[in-house]
Amino acid sequence: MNEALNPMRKMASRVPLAFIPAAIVLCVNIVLNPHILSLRGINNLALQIVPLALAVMAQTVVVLVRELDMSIGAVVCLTTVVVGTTTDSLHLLSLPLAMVVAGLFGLFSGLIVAYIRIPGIVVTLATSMIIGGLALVILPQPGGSVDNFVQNLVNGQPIVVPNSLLILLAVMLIWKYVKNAKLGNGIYAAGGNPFSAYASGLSVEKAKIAAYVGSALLASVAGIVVCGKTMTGDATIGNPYTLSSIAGTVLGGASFMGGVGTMKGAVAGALILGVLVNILFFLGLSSHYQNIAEGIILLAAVIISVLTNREGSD
Amino acid sequence: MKKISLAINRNSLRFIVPYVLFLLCWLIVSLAVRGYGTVGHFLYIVQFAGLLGIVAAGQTLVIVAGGIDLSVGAIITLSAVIATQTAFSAHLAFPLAVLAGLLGSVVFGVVNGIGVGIIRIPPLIMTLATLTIANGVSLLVTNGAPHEVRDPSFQTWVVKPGMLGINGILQTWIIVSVIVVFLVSSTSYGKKIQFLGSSPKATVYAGYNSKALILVVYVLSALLSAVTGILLIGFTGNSYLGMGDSYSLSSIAAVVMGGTSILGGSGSYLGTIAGALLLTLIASVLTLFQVSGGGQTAVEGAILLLLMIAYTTATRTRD
Repeated sequence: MNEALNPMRKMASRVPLAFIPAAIVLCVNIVLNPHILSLRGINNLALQIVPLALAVMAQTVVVLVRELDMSIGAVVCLTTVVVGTTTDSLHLLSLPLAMVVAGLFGLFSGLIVAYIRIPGIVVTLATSMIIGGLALVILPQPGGSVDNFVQNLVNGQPIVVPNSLLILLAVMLIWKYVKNAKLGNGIYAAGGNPFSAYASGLSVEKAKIAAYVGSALLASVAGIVVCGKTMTGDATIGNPYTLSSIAGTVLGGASFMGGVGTMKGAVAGALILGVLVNILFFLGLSSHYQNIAEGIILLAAVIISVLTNREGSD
Repeated sequence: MKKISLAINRNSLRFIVPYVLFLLCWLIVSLAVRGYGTVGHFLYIVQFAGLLGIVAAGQTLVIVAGGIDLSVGAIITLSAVIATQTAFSAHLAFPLAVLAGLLGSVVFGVVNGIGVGIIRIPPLIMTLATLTIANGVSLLVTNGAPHEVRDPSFQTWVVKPGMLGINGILQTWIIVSVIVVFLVSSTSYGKKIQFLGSSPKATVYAGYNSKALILVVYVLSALLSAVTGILLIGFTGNSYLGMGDSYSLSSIAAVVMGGTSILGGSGSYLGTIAGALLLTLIASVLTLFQVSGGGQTAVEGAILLLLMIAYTTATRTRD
C-alpha cells in the first residue's frame, strides 16, 4: 500500500544503492578525463567494463544461492582458447561451442556441489585447476587466430552505442526473464532460506545446479568479449576475473548469506571497480600499485558490507 | 555399536589412504620406469616434498580452524623477494635478511588474522585480498626483476645432504612436523582450534578467545609459508615474481588429500604429510612423462576433486 502511494520511494528501492558511488566515480573520471565521452572513449570504456560486469554477474548468480564460484577466471581463459583455436574452421559456430563447453563445466561443478554436497568454493577451486589446466594444454602460448567477425561483433560501434554494451543489455534482458520465471524464484529462495525453500517444494539442488550453469555461461560470454577485444586466445588472460568478480559482487550489494543481490547492482559494482582503477591510473599511480589498489578496494568493500550487515542484524 | 566402530574405521582410514596411495604409486612407477625405484630417488622426492609440506602445515592449521588461506603462495614470494632484496641490494647480513623476510610475512599473517578473526570477513575473500596486495608489494620491492642468491653456505645447506644424510629442506620439515603434530594433538591450543573449526559459536560460549585463536592460526600459516619461501631461494638460487603461486592451491590439495575436512573441525597433519608426498610424486611422474605445466594442474585438480568426493561420500554416515 505504502509503495503504491509513494512512487518515488518505489523508484528508489528499485535502483541499487551501488549506483550512487558508481555515478560518483564515473563523474570524477569524466571531469579528470573528458575524452572518455568521445565515441572512441565510450567504446574503450565499454570494452573494459563489459567483460568485468559479465564476470561479476556470473559470481552474483552463484552468491544468490549461497555459494561461490572460483572458476570464473578459468572459464574466461578456456573460452578465449576455444574461440582462438576454432574460429578458423567453425567460424560463427565457435562461439556457441565455447559456451556449451563452459556450460558443461558449470553443470559438472553444480552437480557435485548439489548432490555430493561439497562446498562450492573448494569444488570450483578444483574445477578451476582442471579448466585452466586444459586451456593451457590446448594453447600453451597466447595465440591462435580469431576471425574478424568476432572483433566486429564485440568491438563495433555502428551508432554511438558500442556493440559490447548491447551484448550486456541483451544478457540483462534474458536475466530479467529468468528472474521472473520459476527458475529465478527458485534461485532467490534457495539462497535466502534453503529450509523454507525445501519445505515449500522448491528444489535447492536444482537451483544450485542452474546457478553454476548460468555462472559458467555468463563467464564464457565475458570470455567472448575479451576475445573480441584482444583478438587472441590466451590461457591466462582471464585469471584476474575471479578476484575482481568477488570484489564487484560485494560492491554491487549482494550478500554472501545468499538470496540478496541484483544484476543491476552487479553492473554497478563492476563500474565502480573498473572506473576506480582508471582514475588511479589517470592520477599517475604507477601500474606497480594496481594490485595493491585492487586489493584495498576489495577489502574496503567487504569491511563496509560486513559492518553494515552486522548492524542490520542486531 | 557396529555403526560406531565403522565410523571410527572410516575416520582413521582417511589418514591411511594417502600413505597407501603414495606407496602404491611409487611401487607402480618403480616397476614401470627403470632407474626410478632407487633409495636416492625416493629420498629426493621426500626432500622435495618438504617445500610443499611446510606450507601445507600452516594450511592444515587454518583449515582445521574452519578457515582457508589463499595468500600462502603470495607470501612465499614476498618473503623470498624481501630476503634476497635486503641481502643483496641493501647489503644486509644474510641471517638478518631472512629475518626481514619472515617479519614481512608475519605482517600479512597479522592482517589476515585481524580481518578474519576480528572484522569477521569470510577467510576466502580476506586472503584473496591480501594475496593481491602481497603480490603488489613484491612487484614494488623487486621492480619485476629477478634476484640471485649469493650465499653458497646457505645454498649448500638447503640442497646438499648434511646431517643424517638429508638436506636442509628435510631437516626443517622434520622439525616443523614434530612441532605441528605435537601442537595439534597434545596441546590445549590444538584442541581449541579443532573446537573452533567444528563450532565457532560454541567456542565463544565456552569462553575461549576465538579472535586470538584465529589470529595465531593465520600468523603461523604466514610464518610457515615464509619458511618455504626462504628454503625455495636456497633451492632455486634466485627469487622472482610468482615463484610461490602454485603453492596456494597445492597446499589446499595436500590438506584435502590428507583427509582433513575442508569444513574444519577435524584433521591431522600426519595426513597432510602423505598428501604432500603424493602430490610431489604425481608431479614428478607427470614431468617424467613430459606432461606440460597445464596438464599437471589439470591432473592435480582432477585428483583433488576425486578424493574430495570419495572422502565426503565415505563419511556421509556421520551427518
